[in-house]
Amino acid sequence: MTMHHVGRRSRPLMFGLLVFFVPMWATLVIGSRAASESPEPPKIHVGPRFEARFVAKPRIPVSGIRLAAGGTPQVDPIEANGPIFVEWPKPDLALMFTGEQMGFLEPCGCAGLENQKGGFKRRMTLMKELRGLGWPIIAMDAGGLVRRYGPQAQIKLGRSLEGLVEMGYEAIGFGDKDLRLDMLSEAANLDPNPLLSANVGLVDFDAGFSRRYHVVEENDIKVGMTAVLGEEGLAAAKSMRDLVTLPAEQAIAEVLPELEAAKCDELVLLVYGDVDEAKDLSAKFPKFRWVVAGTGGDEPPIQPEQIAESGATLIEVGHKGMYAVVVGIYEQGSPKYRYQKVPMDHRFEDAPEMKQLLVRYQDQLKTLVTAAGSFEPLTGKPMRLPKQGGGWVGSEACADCHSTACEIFMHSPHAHATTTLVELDPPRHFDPECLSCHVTGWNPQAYAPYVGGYESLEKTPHLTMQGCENCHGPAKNHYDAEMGNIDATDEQIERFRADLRMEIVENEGNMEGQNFKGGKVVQNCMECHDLDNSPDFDFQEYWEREEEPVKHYGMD
Amino acid sequence: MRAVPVAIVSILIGAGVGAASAYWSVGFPNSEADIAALRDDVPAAELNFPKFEVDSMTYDFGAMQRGTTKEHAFKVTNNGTKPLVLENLGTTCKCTAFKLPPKPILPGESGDVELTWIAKSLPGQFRQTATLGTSDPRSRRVELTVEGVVTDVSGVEPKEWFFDKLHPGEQRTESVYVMSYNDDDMEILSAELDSDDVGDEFQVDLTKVTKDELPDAKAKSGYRVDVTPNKSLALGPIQQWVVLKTTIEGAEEFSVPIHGTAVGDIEIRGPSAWNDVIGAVHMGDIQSADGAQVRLFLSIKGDHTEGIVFDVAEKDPESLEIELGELKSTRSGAMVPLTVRVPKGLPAAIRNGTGQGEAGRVVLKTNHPLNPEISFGVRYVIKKPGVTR
Repeated sequence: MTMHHVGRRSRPLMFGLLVFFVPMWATLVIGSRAASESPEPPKIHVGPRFEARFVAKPRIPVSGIRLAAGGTPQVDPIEANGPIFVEWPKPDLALMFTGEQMGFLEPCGCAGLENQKGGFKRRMTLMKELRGLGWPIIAMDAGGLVRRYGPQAQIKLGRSLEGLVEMGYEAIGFGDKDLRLDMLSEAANLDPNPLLSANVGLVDFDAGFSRRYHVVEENDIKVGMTAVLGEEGLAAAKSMRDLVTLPAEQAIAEVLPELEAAKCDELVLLVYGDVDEAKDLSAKFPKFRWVVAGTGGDEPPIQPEQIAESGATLIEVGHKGMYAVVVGIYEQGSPKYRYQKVPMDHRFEDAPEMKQLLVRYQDQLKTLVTAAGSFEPLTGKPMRLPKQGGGWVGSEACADCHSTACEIFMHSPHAHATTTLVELDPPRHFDPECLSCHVTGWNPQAYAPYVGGYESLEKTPHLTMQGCENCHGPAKNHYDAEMGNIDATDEQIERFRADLRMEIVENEGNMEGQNFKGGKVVQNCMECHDLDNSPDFDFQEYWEREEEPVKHYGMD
Repeated sequence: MRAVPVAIVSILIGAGVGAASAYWSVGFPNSEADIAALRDDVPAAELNFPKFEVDSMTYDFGAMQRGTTKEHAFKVTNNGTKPLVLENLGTTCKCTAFKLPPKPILPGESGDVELTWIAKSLPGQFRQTATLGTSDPRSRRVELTVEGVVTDVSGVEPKEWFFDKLHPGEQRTESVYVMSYNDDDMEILSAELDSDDVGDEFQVDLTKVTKDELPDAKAKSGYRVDVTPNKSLALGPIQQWVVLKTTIEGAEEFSVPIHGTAVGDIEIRGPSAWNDVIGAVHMGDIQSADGAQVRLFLSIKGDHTEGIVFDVAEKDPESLEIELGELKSTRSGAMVPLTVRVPKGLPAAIRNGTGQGEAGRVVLKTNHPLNPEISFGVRYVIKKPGVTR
């Protein structure tokens, strides 16, 4: 047999090997390299008493792992939230509307990414996919990017603007909470700068930090747009320096002639206000075919409302960035316009560009905290301690006398709260908005530490976990009295114990017909299990559950 | 081995696997009758399907007090020829629950789909959706919506006392209105700062006002609560709370924030990269080939605004580029643009103020009699080409 014949016989085998085994090899090599490049997350130390007696197994919600690892989700997003763009031909132009993001750069809703909607990562994927199909898109945001005030809110505003510019937004309106922050400095650093408002000028209307109106042409369709801050927002802005403001109606009357002179095919009015105000302005200015209400209902309607007085279409964008609204325009055929409410669910994969934005955001928080050695650059000075207690000692200090309760605690999700943050990608343990419910000694709703509360994994390892004192209160007085570290009378010892006792009253709970007002325990739970973070929280169900129980009583 | 037969067999196998995969994910094609139904080609009387009809797709609850529950029954009628089966496909919020008819709806009959909504969210407009699956081939998936407005027993307008920038010695009063929507004669029993440390920093005054003075026409009674700084505050963020105790049932005690920033006559302002508390600009990771810049502002107020001049006295490292723009008057003073630049092509360096490297520093000198010098930090990391982590 010649080498020539041997070569021929082996060709199919070689072909099969190439087709099947090369991609597998590449995936294994690239994947393991990527894994090895990822830094090891810091180890959470729970203290010798806990380590000796209990084992805290790090636990991340399974759906998070599955989705994060590119696995198969158990919830089908299309079945849960409906198909989109059913039977849509490619539009000649798509208008995309968002707004009232309220600081939610990431998805929001019931626990688990499979149940949550929103986030910049998914929104960017939506836009990339549509652009990939050849859809020309003009994206506009009605405003309301943040809802808090302070250094972290300022950073979030900056990152939100950065993300929207990267996604190619042509217009971003102002919400009143956005204007409380230093919007002028953000505007000075935006390039391109899509900030738009007819009735709010940063420094002045002609100072160049924002536009009063804007005309964009895509695919030979000209779209004119303007934005206004509604009445309630203007009232809130009256004490803000470095702004000039006008009533919305007056401002629109000034810019509309400019838009008309540009001979636009479509006119859009973005109103950072409620539905009634948007309709009222639409009735006065019927030339705008599309009128957006930035603070309408929490989700957009399935079909938009036609405003009777003007014939315009009312667009509501929902809250927290959970939805985008897309209007398709068709120059030929019928219908001329199609409307789609798009849920930002996990049918949209995470766009790497926006993931990098979030990495930069968390890195900025980390650098500020690390450099300062505290969270003050983000939270300001720590809050004074709740009246009783004397200070924080950490959950391990409770273990000797309250071992049964601690054993229950260590097997509950509360014990893994800090680990969950550390092991996220990117890690979140420098983010006050996450930490406030995932460590000990922080005020959950103020997103700030109490004096003596958690500072870092290194400085205060005993204050990791959603610890005992977050519910029962600071325990230093009690601990010192019981340990004999201080001279305490019998009366004081009993008082320190009583300060930390929590009693569940009859029918205590947060559901309809249950006792919420009289229930100090459930009210404490809901400081963290609030509507944003735990919308399906049912105190009685959680307290009585058998899997990973939290129910515990008293001393051993 | 012949290539052509191999290729043909491969194509057939591949096509077969692909078709099987497609059927697996999409399902078998509709029958002719199904297609006719979907296209409405055949008159309803001749179809042999259930037919879903509902009295309305949306229901408006109107105004709902926060914490209350309301229900609505959507009436579903089966105008088809087979039993109509309904399935719960979920709601957009756990605050919405729905109850389906216990059995399939027989032809010609109706059943109720009951939606219950608990007003848990903050006051304002709400809208939530419940999705039904049906056995009507033309309406496999139906979304029913409830909407309305959540109200509360009380309201605060605006939601906080916001001082924006407060200068030393500046006399300013900010006001909020505390309102009751149910009570014709509410009382505020006390209004105290939630901090022993700042007890005398702010003055809190209560004034009962008439209904006409209240910003919300729906309010029945209310107060104006004024907050005034008593003295010059320490420079930096203002984040305090006033705890109000009232006679409003359901709002007996709540807190309203005081926000703002106490600033000097000269203030550095910047975007998210600027941090007031530590007085530094955070430029993050910079690729050496790209460089980076941040635009800040020097904001000047007070008696010495006119004629003020700034100059760069010191910079560390020397390679930083600092550009001062022209003085521009504003409504409340003046501002000078200030650009901080890390030029392109610098070698790798860690100047982020952590243990890895000290932050950079810039010192400006001015002719302001009280603030002759202003300094701030510049934090950054320069990476070599090709280094992204």
